[in-house]
Amino acid sequence: MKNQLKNTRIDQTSFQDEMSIMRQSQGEKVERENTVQFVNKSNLPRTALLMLLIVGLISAAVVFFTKGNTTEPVLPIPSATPQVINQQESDIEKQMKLLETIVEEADPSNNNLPLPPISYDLSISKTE
Amino acid sequence: MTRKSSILPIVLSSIFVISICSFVFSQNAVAQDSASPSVEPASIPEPATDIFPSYLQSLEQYRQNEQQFKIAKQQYLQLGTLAALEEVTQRSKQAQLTRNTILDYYFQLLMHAFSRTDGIELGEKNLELDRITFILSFLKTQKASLTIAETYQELDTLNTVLGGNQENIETVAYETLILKKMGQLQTSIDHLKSVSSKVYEGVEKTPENDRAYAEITRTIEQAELELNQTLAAYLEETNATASKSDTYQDYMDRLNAPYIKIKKTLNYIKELRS
Repeated sequence: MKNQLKNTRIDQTSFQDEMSIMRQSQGEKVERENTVQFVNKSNLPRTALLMLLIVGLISAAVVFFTKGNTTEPVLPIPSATPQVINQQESDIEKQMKLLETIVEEADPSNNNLPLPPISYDLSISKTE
Repeated sequence: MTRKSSILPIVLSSIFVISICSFVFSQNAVAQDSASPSVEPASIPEPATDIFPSYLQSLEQYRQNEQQFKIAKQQYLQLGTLAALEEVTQRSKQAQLTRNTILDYYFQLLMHAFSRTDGIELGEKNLELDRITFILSFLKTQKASLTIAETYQELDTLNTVLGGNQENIETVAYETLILKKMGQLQTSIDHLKSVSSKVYEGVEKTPENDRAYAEITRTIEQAELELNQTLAAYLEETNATASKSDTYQDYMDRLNAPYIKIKKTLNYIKELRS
């Protein structure tokens, strides 16, 4: 059994092989799989970091080209969507209503603060 | 262990990508919001809501107090007794105090409305606000004197002091009302210019619409010219022989001409938009 184990090429990183060793050590006969995939442990974080770096660079490029000149306001696209058109219509509608109210208030015949109707003569001794 | 270490970078990179995408989208949304035309909140001067009910209440109280004073004075003149004199003195004090309160509220309301009115030259506006402040200060002093006055001589003197300031009080009130109205008309013209150009931008560019917009612009210019002429005449006028009430009415009549043009332009804009 020991010799059999010694002769078996074991990949230390493979979970399947670790289980096989355990089962074999308990006396079970385990058929080895011929196709054992070897993965280099040390390469894994590097791959992830590389992926992250690429994604980060792509995202930064997207942000840069999307924002363009950040000081200039982004103008609405001429072929605006119906929602944008409706929004503009709604804004003009609001401005029209505000304008109507302002014009009504400006009517010279409209004075909402007339002088109070008071008498300036409340004298006691003065006879009429 | 190996699976965990391989999932972690994927999760991290996914979060990173999602956060970048959401940032980009939010920036676009902000840009669209800022590019869309903004609607300013209504800036129509209205009487201060907390003072106005008190002002109306004081007016009602004054009517009663004035009526009671007149009855007491009539009785005093008929009877000529000390009791009647005491009664009329008390009634005069109450009526004068209420009258003072009404004027105080009125000028506070006027000041509030005037200060909120746009379209008035700043120097002229501040000058008028100073005049109102002076009236309010005078009324404050008058109120303090009325509160401690006990005799009919003191009350009669204070009544004479207010009567002597009647012209000044009414002048300041009417001047403020004239300037306020001119400011409101100027504000209307400014808004007409802004809204008409926005409406014109949104309509089809046909020769008919072009002519309509040209007519709108021309009418606005005429209204503004007439308003400026009236304002210039008002500022030049220093010695008005007519009473302030008549002067006020005269200016309201003069301002009617630009106002009719303003109303006309508003209808033109509605027509252009439809």
